[in-house]
Amino acid sequence: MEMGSLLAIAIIATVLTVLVRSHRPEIAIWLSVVTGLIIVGRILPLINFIVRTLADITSGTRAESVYFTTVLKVIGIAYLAGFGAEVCRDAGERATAGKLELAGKVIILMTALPVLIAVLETVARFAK
Amino acid sequence: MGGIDIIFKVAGIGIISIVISLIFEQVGRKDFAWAATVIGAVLVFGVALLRFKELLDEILTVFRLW
Repeated sequence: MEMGSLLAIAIIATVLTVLVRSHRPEIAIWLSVVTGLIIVGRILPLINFIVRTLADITSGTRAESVYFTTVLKVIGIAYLAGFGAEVCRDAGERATAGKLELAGKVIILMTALPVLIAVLETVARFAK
Repeated sequence: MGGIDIIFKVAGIGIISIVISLIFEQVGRKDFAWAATVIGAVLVFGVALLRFKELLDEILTVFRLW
């Protein structure tokens, strides 16, 4: 519904970034970071709505809501790590991008660990 | 919430600092040119960082990452 304005923002920002990049690469990086965040900021209400409807659907037992928030956290971490890695790669810092992605994976593993343990426990209970 | 104003602000600061530093280079004052560059970078840093924190807080809130 607001694709037009998002497209406009993206194109204008890209042109300005290219204009500034030749003389001031550091300002171009900030420009691309801010543009990315603005575009995501514009679609945040939609994401919020989707998340709330999904939460309502899975609002059954307490267990399900815990799993849902974990999934949400993992998606958030994956997105942020990806965003940072892309910005670092744009700036030419591939090493930093790789480290950031590694950190993202470790944090995701940490968040998902409780769910994994819970699932294993239920499986073990059935096996007995 | 618009948001495009921040892009114009950052780009504006960038362009102004480029122009000023080029002018100073033409005149021959290399130190002033460097000062204009640094001041431009610092200004952009501050402006963009403030908006960056705001938007990051929103994202963290939506994904319950607090």
